[in-house]
Amino acid sequence: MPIEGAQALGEWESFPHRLDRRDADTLGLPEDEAIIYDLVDGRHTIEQVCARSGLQQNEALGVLFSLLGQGLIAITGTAATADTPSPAALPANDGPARLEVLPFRGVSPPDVQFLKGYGPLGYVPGLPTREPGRDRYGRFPFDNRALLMRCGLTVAQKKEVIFLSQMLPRLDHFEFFDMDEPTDDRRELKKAFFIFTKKYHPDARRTLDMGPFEPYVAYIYRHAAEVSELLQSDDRFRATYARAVKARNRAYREGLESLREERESVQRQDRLREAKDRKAEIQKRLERNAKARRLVSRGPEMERLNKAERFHRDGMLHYEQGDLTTAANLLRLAVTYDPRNRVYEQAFERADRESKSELAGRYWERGETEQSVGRSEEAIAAYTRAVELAQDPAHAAHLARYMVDNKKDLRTAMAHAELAVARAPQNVDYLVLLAKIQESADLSTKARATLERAKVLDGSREDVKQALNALKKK
Amino acid sequence: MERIIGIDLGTTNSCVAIVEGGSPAVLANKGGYKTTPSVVAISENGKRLVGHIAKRQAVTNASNTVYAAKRLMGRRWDSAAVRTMVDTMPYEIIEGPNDDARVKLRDRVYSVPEIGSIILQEMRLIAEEYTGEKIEKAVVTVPAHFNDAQRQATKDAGRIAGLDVVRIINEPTAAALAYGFGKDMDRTIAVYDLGGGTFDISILEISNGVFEVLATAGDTFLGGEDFDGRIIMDYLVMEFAREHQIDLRQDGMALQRLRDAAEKAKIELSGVRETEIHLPFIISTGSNEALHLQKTLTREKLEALTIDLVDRTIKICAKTIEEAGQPVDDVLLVGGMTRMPLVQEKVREFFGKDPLKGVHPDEVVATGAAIQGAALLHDHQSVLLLDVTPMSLGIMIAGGLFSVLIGANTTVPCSKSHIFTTVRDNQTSVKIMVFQGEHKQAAKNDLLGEFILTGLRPASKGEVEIEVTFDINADGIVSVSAKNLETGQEQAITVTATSGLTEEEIRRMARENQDHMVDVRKGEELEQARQDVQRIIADVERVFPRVREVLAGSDFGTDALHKASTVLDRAAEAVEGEDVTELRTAGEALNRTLNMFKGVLQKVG
Repeated sequence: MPIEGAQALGEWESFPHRLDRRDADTLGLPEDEAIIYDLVDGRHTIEQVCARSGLQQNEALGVLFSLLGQGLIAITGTAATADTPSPAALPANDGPARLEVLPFRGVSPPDVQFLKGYGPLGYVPGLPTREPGRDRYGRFPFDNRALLMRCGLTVAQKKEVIFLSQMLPRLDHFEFFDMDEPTDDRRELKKAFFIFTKKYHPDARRTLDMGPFEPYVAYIYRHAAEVSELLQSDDRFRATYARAVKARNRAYREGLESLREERESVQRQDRLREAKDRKAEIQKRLERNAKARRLVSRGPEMERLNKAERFHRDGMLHYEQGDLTTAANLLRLAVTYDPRNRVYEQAFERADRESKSELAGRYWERGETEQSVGRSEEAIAAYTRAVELAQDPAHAAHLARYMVDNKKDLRTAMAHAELAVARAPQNVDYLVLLAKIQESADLSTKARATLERAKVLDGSREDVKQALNALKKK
Repeated sequence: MERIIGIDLGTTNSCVAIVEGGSPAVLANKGGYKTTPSVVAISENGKRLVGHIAKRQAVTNASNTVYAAKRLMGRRWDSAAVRTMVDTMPYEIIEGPNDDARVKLRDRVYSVPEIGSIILQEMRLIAEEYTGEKIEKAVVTVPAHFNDAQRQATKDAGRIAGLDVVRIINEPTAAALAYGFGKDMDRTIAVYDLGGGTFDISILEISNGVFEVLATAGDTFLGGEDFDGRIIMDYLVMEFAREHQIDLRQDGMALQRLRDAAEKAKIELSGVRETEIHLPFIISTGSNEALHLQKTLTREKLEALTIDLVDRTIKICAKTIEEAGQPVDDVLLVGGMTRMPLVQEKVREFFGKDPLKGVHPDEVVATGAAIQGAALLHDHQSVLLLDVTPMSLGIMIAGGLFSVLIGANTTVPCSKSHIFTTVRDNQTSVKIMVFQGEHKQAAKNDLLGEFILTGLRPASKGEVEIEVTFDINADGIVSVSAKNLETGQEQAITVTATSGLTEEEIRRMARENQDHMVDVRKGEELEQARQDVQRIIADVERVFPRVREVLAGSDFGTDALHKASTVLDRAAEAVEGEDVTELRTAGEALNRTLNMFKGVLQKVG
């Protein structure tokens, strides 16, 4: 397929264009097609698209070919102009940028052959612009500046002019004339053209200042007149063209359906495969650990050091990726294999500390959650775990206070308060807290000593003085 | 309020209409007629005469009276049309400086657009009189098959008359507009227009207020004048020659009398089965003996004389209908000649249905022109006309062949392009010659313009590609461009067909016409003032004797009488003179005197 793809795609220097305004997600494209499709913007050559996709060249070409086959893109020799629909960026007046590759999706080969004889006017775009039930413009991005430009046209008229002049090469004639269904009824077509004429004929707009829209209106009208004349005068063309557009619409609807089904089945398979992969990896890791343990027990010096180095490297890798628990485990293994290495040890300590503080953080959060719902037992258990792990003085103090408030074992609370004081000896609040607990536990001497210490640290605190006086009176 | 009037500039009769308050009205001239003969004459004292006045004096002033000038519009001096006219017309047609035909009347040479402008001017005056406003814009109709030069000549005529011709539309199209205006219809109609000088057939589709011309064709030299010609040449002149061995065609005045009589007889035969043509003293022989012409013409005889003309129109109809490619629902008859029973019968026979009644064949074209004029003026319009190019446009290619880019009956505006290549090795320039017409040989068509694209790369033939683009806008203006596809180099021209007048000439004529109009206006003003003063003089003179009786007694009275007679004398003097201001002052003074007299008489009782 890639080789045929390359041939069908033509030159490296050609430009793929999107034929549709919708993004890859809306279309439900598989991943590789979505990648390429996102890169197709009409301003980059095939070569650039391939290079930027990161896929293998032949893969990228294959995907492009498949997109072409689905009628989602077309290839032309020239780059598209910038994609903003301000009048300055509307297509040139001397003719639309005709597409050279004609998808003719769903159309029977003899009809395609016949229509090709009519050049651009016989062209049936691969996709309808209007989905059933959607409004005419879909998600067409109108440029507000263009819509606000001062002239005699209403915003709705400006929208139509911008849309038609820009989308002209991608519209089939029925969409162009805003007809709901393709038809080969001559009178119907004529009626549609007459409605169009009343809006766009130069005589109808003679006294209207159209400002910068003027050349586009003229251009649209000329196209309409040309199309109408062909449709009116050539019965065979009219019939064939209507048939081709009908066939295209049918193919498009069916295509959407099958695309959705395909996408769903791919997703199902992806999930299955992921689960299988995960299982296999766990299996592998278990085996690796067992092997490592075996190596420790009997390994010669060199292999031991190598192991240590490998664990250190893996550990650091995980550390950098933020997987602290795994990092700490691997680094512990490194230290076990090479206890004399200070680097390993420091790395382990750092990882261990951080992993513990991370864990402690999680426990603390859980504690806070439990406390907030009033489940004190669970809260105290979580808090205790957090304090044990990280020995954070603030946490320890909080835990102590919480235990006192909830009338828990004063000794344990005191131990926590002592921990807090030990970790932050300069904090007067912790000393006051400890003193209070000691007092509650009838250890007045200890309490007094604690308060004295606090007074030394900060003589200005009234609560310390009062507490001390109260204790002395006793 | 800006207005655009509609003018039907016909070969024999012209007509003007205007849309007022959303409905069209045909305007009558001073004589109360809604159509005005397209006749221009210069009287013995050098005055311009137009319309009925000109037509009435034609017999005595045949060589200075221009008929059917429309047939000369935009024609080249060497064309067959002009040749025939030179042979048959009583007035003198001479060669103009720009290969055009001109008319010589009383030692002054008039261009054909100038003659047209005199008629347009008249139509404009009718409209100005009716509305009381100055009219500056008009839609003018021409036969559908008029080429660019003829249309341009018509536009030039407008300019000379001080009218901006905002659009030229085809007569049958105008007729259809008038017919379909304000009707909610969805039909295909055929307009069969047989006028004084030309025949036109157009097929139009009308739907939802949009009028699309599907096909159109015609014959410039087939009209009422030709029917008259048959009566004169093939019947009256022949019969007279057989009886008296005298060729009446030698005598201009006799020919003019024959012409009038033939037209009259033809018109009468639409209503009656036979008519007398009686022309006493038609000519005198060498021996001073006067000869009379007295003949009876029956409808059968007339039909026998002209059936081939009618058949020619039917042939053209058949071709046109084939081109339109769809069945016709209705047939509309336009032009005075369609009153002829034979024409109606043949049309009915051919289309298989009765022609539509209810439109006035002489006025419908002007009405349609006025409707189009109004439509061009307003945004919210009830009618929109999709006109077509009357003739194929293309360029001359190798071998002198005509390569058509825009075929006849293509809806305008439109643009078409085609890629041509060089035909010789090392060709470095190409000449693009733009033609209009239907002949396979380019030279047999009308040349509209030419230009040269240079700077081609020397290469073997067929290698360098040149894209030629034709573009016609809604006003029918053709522009042609040629682009060297290799270098992107481009050459373009806007084709302006020439009517045989240079820009300078048109400006000069417009100026002269304006001066003439000022003179005419002044003359009218003078005449009006003169009449006013004369009326007052008569009034004063009527009461003067009685006033004299009353006043003569007192000194005061004598004095007043003396003053009054001085005023009266001055007024009488002013009436003889040419000074408008003098007349007005005299008139006012006299009016005061008259009032005074009236007061005196009232007091006396």
